[in-house]
Amino acid sequence: MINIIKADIYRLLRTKTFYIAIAVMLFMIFLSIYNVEVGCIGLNMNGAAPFPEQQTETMHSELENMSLDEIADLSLSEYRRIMLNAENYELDKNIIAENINLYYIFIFIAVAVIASDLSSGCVKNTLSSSIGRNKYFFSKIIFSHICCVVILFANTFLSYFANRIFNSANISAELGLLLKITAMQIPAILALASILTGIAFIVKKTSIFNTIAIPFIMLAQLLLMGIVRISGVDNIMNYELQVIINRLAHDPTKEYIIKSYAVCAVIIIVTDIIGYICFKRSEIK
Amino acid sequence: MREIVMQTTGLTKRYRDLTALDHADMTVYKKDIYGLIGRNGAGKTTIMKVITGLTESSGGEFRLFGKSGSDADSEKKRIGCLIENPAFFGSMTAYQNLKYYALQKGITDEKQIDKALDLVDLTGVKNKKFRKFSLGMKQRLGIALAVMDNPDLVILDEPINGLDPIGISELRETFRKMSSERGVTFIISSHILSELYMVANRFLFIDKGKILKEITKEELDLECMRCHVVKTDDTKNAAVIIEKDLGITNYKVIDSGEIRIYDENIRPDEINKLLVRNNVNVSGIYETGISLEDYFKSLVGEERS
Repeated sequence: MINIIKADIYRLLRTKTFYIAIAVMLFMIFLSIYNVEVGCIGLNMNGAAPFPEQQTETMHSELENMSLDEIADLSLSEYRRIMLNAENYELDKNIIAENINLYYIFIFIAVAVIASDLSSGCVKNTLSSSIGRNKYFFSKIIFSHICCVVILFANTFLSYFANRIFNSANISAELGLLLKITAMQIPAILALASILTGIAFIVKKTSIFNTIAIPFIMLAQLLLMGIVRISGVDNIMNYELQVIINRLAHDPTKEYIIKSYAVCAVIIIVTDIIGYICFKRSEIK
Repeated sequence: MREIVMQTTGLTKRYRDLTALDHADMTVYKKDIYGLIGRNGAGKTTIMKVITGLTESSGGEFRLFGKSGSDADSEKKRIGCLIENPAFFGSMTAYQNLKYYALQKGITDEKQIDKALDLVDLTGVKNKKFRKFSLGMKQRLGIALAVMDNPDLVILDEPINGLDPIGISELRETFRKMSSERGVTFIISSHILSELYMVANRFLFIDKGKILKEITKEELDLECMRCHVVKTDDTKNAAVIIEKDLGITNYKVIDSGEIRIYDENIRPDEINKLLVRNNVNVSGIYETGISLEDYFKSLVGEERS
């Protein structure tokens, strides 16, 4: 297993995809730092289901006294000046709260580590040697999960230091707190990684993988919103992965942590089992 | 007694309605260069895929180095193979691709990579990206991977595809050398009988998933050689007469009703006269002798020709 992971590290470092993924991540962080606000994919968190237990923080800045039109008319430098002087605003913490954005970086990883191997047929070179399917499957899962966790922490460190260097300590959280939040997000991040590795092992073709993986989060959210409308149970949306990642960054209750971890565990187990069964039964071409 | 490297018993593979391999029995001995011959879709690749674990069999069993079932899996480390098209990472060089698999297999000596590349004459292009390789170069890299960790059994599926005549000839020499000097056993598939004939010492003919014949090169030569076929119900006496009265030793009793005489100097009417005079019934006597391709056609049946 160690040998397979060593070989994957060797290959990953020689894959353009890996460097593109890192570049995209750096660009995302740079944009957030420069604009002093966080972009996000998927759900608008303001419209998410109510979460009364959460301690919400309110940002105080000059913007509160301005209309939307006035804010829109601000130059970027003026906007930056206002935001850099805001109170109760922690840009790096907010970036980490939107770690769902890393899903797209994880797509790169799943393609580089698993999908390209299966799609090109290179997997047969491995499986026809002494390496069995079980060892191959678990090595790939473990390695892609490790990559995702490394990226998660790299994102935290980069956000923290870039924010302190290019913006101000005034809008930065303590590193200890950021690392604590990041560590708490690991189960949700592993759930995202498992979804992607599961899809890769099921479809085995890079093109089909991309077609499914790219809109997957959006489709899953739409599906959940549909279920909420039909069932009337708003609470379901609190356990959607984007919401979990976000709320774990905002001082969640113990009960919420346990429930959200249980949801993540179910996602990890189900996607890994489905991926394993599909891979185990498939004929390698 | 020769050591058996690989043996299948009733090996079967079904894909829904299609039986790709139907109760295949074959035995490969140490140092054999074993040729699998069949048309496209005959079942050659399926045998190789089952043995190497790329697909599971639907029935029967196979033994690798005397071990079967899960024990055989541990013997897979003694196999090197190239199944179907050579697949590598296009963005990596030939050397990097082999290094990747060397790391996977736990090969620490990087000289083995260089040796394998040298063996297939790819040293000069080892830093060229795989996607820029010609079909022949890709094929040779696949062979390099198969032999990189000094396997005891090398399985090659259509290895000469895309190779030029000189490349094919060099490869033949490499196979022979590895077999004789290092005791490596080869299983090589091809639909080009004449090419396989020049390198293999044993052959397996397969069609529509069924094994038609397993035969040594000597037996194949005898079957294809020009000869007189004598059809008689008394092969025992006929053989004695042919040997004593005609002084012919170059003959073979094929079965209870057929003798083949490989001496072309004797005329059929002479044989006939002598046998009849000695009260041996002769139901037929004729000359035969076929090319390898015709022999294969005769095995797979008329509808194929």
